[in-house]
Amino acid sequence: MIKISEIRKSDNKIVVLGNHESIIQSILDFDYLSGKKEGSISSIVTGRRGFAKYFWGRKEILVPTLASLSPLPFSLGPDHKLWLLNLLSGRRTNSATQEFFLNHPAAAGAALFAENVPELHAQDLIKQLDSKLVVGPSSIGLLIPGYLKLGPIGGITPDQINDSHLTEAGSIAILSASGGMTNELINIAMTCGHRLSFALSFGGDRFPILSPRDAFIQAEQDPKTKIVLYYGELGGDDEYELVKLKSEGLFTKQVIAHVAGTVSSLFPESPQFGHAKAKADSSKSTALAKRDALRSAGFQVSNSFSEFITLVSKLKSHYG
Amino acid sequence: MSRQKISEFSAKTALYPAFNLDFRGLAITQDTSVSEIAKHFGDTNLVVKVDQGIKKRGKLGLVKINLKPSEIPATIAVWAKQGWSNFLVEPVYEHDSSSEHYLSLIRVRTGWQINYSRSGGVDIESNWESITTKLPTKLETFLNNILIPELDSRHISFLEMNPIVERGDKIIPLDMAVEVDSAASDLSILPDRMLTKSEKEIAILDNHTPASLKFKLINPAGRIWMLLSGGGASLVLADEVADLDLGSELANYGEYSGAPSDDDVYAYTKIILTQLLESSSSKSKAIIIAGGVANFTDVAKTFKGIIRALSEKSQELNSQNVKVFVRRGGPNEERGLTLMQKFLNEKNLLGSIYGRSTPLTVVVSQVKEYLT
Repeated sequence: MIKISEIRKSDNKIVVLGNHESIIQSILDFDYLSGKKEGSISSIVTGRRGFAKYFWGRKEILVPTLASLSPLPFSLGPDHKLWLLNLLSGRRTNSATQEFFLNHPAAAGAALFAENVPELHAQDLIKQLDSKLVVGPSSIGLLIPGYLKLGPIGGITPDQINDSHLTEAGSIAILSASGGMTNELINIAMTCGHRLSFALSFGGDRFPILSPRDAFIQAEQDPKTKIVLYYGELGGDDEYELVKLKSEGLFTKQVIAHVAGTVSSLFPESPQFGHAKAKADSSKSTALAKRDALRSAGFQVSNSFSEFITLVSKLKSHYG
Repeated sequence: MSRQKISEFSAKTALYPAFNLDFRGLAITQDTSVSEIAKHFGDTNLVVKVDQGIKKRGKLGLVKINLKPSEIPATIAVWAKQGWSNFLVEPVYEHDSSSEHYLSLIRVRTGWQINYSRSGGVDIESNWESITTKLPTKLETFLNNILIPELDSRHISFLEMNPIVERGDKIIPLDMAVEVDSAASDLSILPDRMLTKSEKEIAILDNHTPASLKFKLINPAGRIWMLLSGGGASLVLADEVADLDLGSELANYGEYSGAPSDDDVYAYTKIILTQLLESSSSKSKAIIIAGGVANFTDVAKTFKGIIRALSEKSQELNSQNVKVFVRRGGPNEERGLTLMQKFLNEKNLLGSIYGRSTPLTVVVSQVKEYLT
């Protein structure tokens, strides 16, 4: 699997599957504001050969649109890394993603945006793509300040990109189960004067292709990352994998973690909350049990979200 | 979506063929006549169960065995009084309780987690140490060659059979609990037990839009009403209400996300306001309109829908001492917040209003101050 530090050294090219103008424009805005010579959107697979109009700064540009995933209208050099941004619906996400990697076996990874990807399809993607960096399903993407914005992560307007300093690199990594909370954590870190090393949302599904464990290994191996801010939710047992990682000595950096979902104790039986995974089927998968497990493993864990904000605000500024 | 329960009737109808068995069960309600049951089964001994996805039915007295068709109405009349509405009738399968085994299959990241015990039956929880992942060879072959491919093709994520009994070549699941992956399965899922009118209305709304609109009524007399956006932020905000010891005042949980149209948000808000205004509590109330910093949901657009619904009810809201507390960030944040602030001020509904620069959970502390 490609490492975050390798992505920073590469010329990253994105193939977008599906049409979502504001997301695509936001990636070009990010590239432009990062001072890149050209945008990272290489082509958009719309089902029709032609061109789509976008802006590069104030200048209008034409981005090639394609009838299918291959062939691509450009050749990849040794410094290029190819990425897929899959914006298709849940039912089509698996087949289209598999087809992409079949046609472009050297591609580095993908972000899968759709909700409602069947569990069976997620299992299939996990089996087939374990050497690729694939965030999602139901992920808003992967962000490496100044280098790569693969998805709506961080916002879709130039104001959001500027206000959140998304083009300036720092030392905080944000790893989150929720798209909205990823952006909220970015907002908190920025308000406290920090900048990001990278941010990603693995999504709130039961079987994220890039698991929280994989994401923590990425953060451990990234020399720029000093601190991880983690947002998780009740349901599933991903946090116990993090506990194992820590106890095996495979993760050593500072973490501030929040696991949401204690409100479920107000209900006689855990209800299904917003995300597919967000339901405690057993006492082990409640928010409280997971907080305790993470805490005993040596992670810094907040008792409330207000406390999480306080813990972040007490961090020494590693930026600049 | 998520894992959802289906009825035992649907489960057995779907899966008995994989076991090479005929399913002879009948789904009944209080309206089913004795003659209908007798026609289906003849004069055999029957077992009747509540079939609404509830666990430990045996222990809760929601299973009765060795009934004749004529004895069934009296039994389900008792259950109906407790609020149950759907039942399953099957012929009694004579067997020795020592031949009852336990088998469950749970879909996990890398395949299936399979649990088996030779000592199944109602006391499985106290026999939990007998659970093993090792299966008899014949059973393992059946699972790998027939059952698991069937579960995959039907997008079943969880199957628990307690007990199963073996007779000759056959494996017979006497009881089945199934959860399907609602993102893909075409098996019909069980509704939550007894949805309220507002919950039903929002569920219908949710079914008719690609966006996500969720609502659970917790306490209709509660004083804190929430109109939240985003799966994660809504959970964090609901947690904060409980963390500040306001759990007993929490009226609802819910969230809208996935870039709903302003008409969707209008209809959603209106249902919640109608429910709020039915509240018998004469004390002041708070509406929390909040969410994280959105990635791509347009704040101004969704706020327009909310404002339209609020303005239709603004007089009644005033007379019930309702104040609105807002925190939201994202695309078109400033325009959305300005619109909302102007409206709330004009209608005398403003509690407080913030954008991204104020921490997500601050509104909850302000609500606490207002209510106490």
